[in-house]
Amino acid sequence: MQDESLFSDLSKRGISRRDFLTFCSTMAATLGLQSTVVPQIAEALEKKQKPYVVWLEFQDCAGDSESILRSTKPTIAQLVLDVISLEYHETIMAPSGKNAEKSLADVVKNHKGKYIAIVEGSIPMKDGGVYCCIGGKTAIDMAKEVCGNALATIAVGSCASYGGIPAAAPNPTGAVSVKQAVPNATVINLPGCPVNCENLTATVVHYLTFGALPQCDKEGRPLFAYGKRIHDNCERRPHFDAGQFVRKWGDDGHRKGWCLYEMGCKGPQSYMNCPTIRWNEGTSWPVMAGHGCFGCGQPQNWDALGSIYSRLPNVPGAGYQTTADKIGLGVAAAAAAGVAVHAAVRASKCKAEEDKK
Amino acid sequence: MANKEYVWEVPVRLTHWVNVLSILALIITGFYIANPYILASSETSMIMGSMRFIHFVSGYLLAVGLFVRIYWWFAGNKYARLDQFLPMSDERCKNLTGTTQFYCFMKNDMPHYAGHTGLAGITYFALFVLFIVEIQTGFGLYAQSHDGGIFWTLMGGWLVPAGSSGSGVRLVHHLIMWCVIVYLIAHIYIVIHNHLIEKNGLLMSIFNGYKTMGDK
Amino acid sequence: MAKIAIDPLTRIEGHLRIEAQIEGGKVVDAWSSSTMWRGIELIVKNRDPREVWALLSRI
Repeated sequence: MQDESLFSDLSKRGISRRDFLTFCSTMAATLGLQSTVVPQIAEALEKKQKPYVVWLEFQDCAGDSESILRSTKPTIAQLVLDVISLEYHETIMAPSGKNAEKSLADVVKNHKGKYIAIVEGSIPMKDGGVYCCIGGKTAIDMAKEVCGNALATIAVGSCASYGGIPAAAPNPTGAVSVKQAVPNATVINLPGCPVNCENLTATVVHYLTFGALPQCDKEGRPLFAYGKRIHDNCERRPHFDAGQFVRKWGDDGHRKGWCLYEMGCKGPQSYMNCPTIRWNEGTSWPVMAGHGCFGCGQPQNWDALGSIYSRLPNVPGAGYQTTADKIGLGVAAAAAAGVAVHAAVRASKCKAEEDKK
Repeated sequence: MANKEYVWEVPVRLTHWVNVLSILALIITGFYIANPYILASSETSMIMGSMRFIHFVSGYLLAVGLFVRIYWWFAGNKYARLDQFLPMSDERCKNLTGTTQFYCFMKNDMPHYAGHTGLAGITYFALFVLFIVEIQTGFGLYAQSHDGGIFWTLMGGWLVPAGSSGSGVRLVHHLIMWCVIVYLIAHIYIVIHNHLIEKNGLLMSIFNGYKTMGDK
Repeated sequence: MAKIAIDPLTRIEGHLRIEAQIEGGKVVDAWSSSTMWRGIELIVKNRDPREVWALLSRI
């Protein structure tokens, strides 16, 4: 099974060459590549051997697995994910217990340095890493062994990329990202809460086509997916520039699809391709559905960006209700009061001096 | 015997008014950008777009005004120089303490000097520092819409590396606006206060450059 | 008399460990333990209540 190429698999399932090439074009577009690359992608997927992949879950909610499984088209996208010969995935694999762990150990031993590890969920470091144990081993030990011996590790979702929700203040378990837990591993981060499965598929296709992971930014995120700001590609941007904002849920502007800036949209601060490729195979994305972006793919979004519904982040030490404007207004009012008092005192002093003369 | 002293040269007065106009524009538009207080009536409006445009142009003006004034610290007359801002001599320190004591009602008279009081000097210096941080944070945020390059990096882009949210930068930018508003309240009051106490034509001096010094 | 452990229990969401004491081919005692904790109840404290849904939906 593992030694078949993708195309032989597809033709067995009755997928036409036209559908296959359409998929290759879609992948090229997602990766931001020219159409001249399509034959190269097609050749790679036709000829290359399926790489071995293990999918590890640590402190996760399985959201990224759900994202992949949401591929409803029972055609190309889902089948391409079959091309990554998935040897281990706790949520969907058949064996359990020792047999499951054996599958994992076999890949690490027999294909050392050649398999790809996909990691979902953060890794707890506090108290010896006991807050996530699988098969009697801590997550950190598993990560060190599996990611340390992998060709590359793809950290899917914000938890594996940055620590995500478990790492949000006060981070009770000392949760960290894969890169922080295993600094020596080659890690590419695909944040998002959950990751957009199109971005994962495109990253894998890129690897199969070019033999290398796509170009990344300083945070290890592929530029094709995380290089552009959501605010600059949002379909509601003209409403922002015009000054048409939703003020209350369900108001007239909300029904007309106006900008969600005043509802706390973090689009101006977030970098992901949600407006372009959208979710659930291009169906929609949060802003299109009428709710502001909350920066799910940004580092420490739960702490750094303030409340989902606030414009500004919290003032450090002040809590979400004591906003910057409340503090500013308070200080300005105090200054005005101080000035009034000073003026009164000065006036009375001057008058006293005048009276003396 | 009262005499007219030429205190504030043209670059000092010009940059002052450029700063005043740009800061007023920056505050009015800045408030809107953070909290849109006008709702557009049609798609053809360009309210946020115009507010942002005015904000950016005013930001450039403030940056230029500040740059020119900083140059004038080293090129201007004795009332414009850096030693009028940072108290580096005994005399300036005495002026600073004397002025502060008068403002706090601890003394009945203040030091009389044609240029900045010692307190004005250091508060203006602190204000310039705030302006520099405001300009850097502002251009840092603006740089998110631009593709790097040495100009944008130096003007503030280094604060917001590509891909980062810059939310701390936004908060600082907003808080400094409040600092400037608080400063404005104090500044306008003290200027009127000193004009009335010292009777030296302080209010007119920022227009025509002259103060009336000597016995009254 | 034997004690068996199934860890990880697969095809479920999350992490689970099941242990069972077997005597004469029958299960006489059993334990289940969830082997992962994040402390989301602690994480939602001191936050805007309106955003708690976003955190809890990720449990």
